[in-house]
Amino acid sequence: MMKDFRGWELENIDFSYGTFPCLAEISLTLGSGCFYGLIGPNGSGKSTLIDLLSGYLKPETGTIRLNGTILQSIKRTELATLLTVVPQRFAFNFDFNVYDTIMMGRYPHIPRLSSPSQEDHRRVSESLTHLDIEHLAQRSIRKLSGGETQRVMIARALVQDTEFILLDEVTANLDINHAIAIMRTMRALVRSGKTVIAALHDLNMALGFCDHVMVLNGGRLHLQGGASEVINGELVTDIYQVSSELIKSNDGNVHLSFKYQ
Amino acid sequence: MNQSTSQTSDKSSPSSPVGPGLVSVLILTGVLVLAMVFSAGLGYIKISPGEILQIIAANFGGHLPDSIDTSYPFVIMEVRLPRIITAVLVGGGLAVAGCIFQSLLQNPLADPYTLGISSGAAFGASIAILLLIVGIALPSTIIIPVFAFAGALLTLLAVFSLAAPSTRLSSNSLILSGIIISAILSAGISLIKFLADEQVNAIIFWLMGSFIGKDWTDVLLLAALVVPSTFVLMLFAREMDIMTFGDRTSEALGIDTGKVRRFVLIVASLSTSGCVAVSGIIGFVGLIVPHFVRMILGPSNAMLIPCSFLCGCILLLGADTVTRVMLPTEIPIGVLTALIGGPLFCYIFRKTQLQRWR
Repeated sequence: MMKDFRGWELENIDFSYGTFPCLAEISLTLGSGCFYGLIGPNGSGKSTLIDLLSGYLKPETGTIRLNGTILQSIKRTELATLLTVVPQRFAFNFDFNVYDTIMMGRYPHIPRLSSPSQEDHRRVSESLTHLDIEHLAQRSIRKLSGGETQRVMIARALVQDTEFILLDEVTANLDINHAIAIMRTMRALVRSGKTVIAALHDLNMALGFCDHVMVLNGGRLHLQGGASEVINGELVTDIYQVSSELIKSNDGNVHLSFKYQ
Repeated sequence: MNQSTSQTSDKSSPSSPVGPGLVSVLILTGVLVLAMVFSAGLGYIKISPGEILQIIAANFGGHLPDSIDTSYPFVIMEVRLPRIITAVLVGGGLAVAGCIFQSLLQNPLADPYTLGISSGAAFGASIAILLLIVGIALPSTIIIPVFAFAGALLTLLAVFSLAAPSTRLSSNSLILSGIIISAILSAGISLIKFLADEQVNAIIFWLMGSFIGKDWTDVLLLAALVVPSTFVLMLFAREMDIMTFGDRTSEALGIDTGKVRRFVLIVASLSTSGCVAVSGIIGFVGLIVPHFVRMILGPSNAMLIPCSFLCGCILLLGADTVTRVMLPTEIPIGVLTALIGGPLFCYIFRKTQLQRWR
């Protein structure tokens, strides 16, 4: 354990759902100020790892530390000022409007029995503009498309204003324009000193935006390293059993081209 | 740029339910007070609102004018007011509990009886009535509510124990536990009815709910449970709003979902147990009122809870006044609320479904 270290330290993490083993022997150090991509096929344990990093699930064995403190010993209220999560699935049972839904992200910052301050309202308005959802402010959260909902939940996480941001497949429901916009926003947040960990299915997004990539396969950490070092045709064949090649464009960007036949 | 920002805030200003909500609270409070005075004047002996206010004032040390009939103070203070306040508190308590159960169980179909409290209370009351039938000398006015209350609490304990392996007390495990325990208790009630033989009517009448013969002891019990619990529950309005979005979102925002759900459900259940113990099983109030208020004021619990409380008070007072004064025979209040509430719920359900698909 390093002194004054900011970020997560995972030591020999195992986790099972009942008798079904999900993650095994995961050891990782995730320092701050970096954009991490978590990739791997369906069922490889990405969402479970996000749940463990957020403290929603408790590891069966091993320890998880955040900023040097055992994650489970940090109070929920304190944790909410340190990290935020945008989960993969949401429950919408009542017609809260978009504005109020985003304002819930300020919950950890608003004292009990107090109303939201001008600063809280300013942050919510800013996030509406930033995520291009101003026009939806008064609409019911239940009357949005999947992509609009995803942007609202990202806005909710952004107004929470935490050092660490965990995203579980947040670009899955978004069109390419909004997906890139979200990833650019995350990139900008990382430049401003925040840490983002995103579980992603789109390998080109991981290649284009992430600094560091962790590959999960069968519940184990298969590989990790710089995005451009880790993601290549060999990995895709190995993990996904799909042929692909890495193509470098004129502007110097690289992307994967998949062979569909 | 500044102009644009200010336009943005105007356009997307918070829905802030507190503004219209506060007006609604004031209006509903006014309506409730008027309805209580109006209801107290109705009955076999008609008493004017002025006389009612003078009788109440006299009871707090004021002078009772000679023009007022000497029997009126007894009619108002000992017969009608305890019954009216009981109906008001039960209506408010059930409506608030309905809001809580719907929010915390993330299920708009939940009501105060979802966890089997009504079955528990009914089972307890049925045992008490059976004991009275077989000749055990106990005062029925005390033994029935005590057994009903104990039955409700034991049921709550059983439901929580059954759902306990789920550390966060997930809504599904709570609802399923409630259904299982209710089914067992319903079978128990059927057995008691069978044992009661020809005197089964006493059990059936209790099950249908009634405010007949309620006195100040009932009012005190309810006031001690319903009023403080409503204030305590209002303190958790924000947490309950967030918890409708699911456990992951709630915990990411710093809410200990397991603890909050357990505490809030216990408080709401205690209030419900008090209501059921005093009045029997009165359905639909806890289901319909929160839906109705939510349709008008939105889902925010900060306003939903107080407005539901007041609407529940008015609704049950209205229903009790109808059955007490306007109908040729006093039909059980539980039957009346179901007869009025059922079609009303169909209307609300249909309207919300149409709105959703438009």
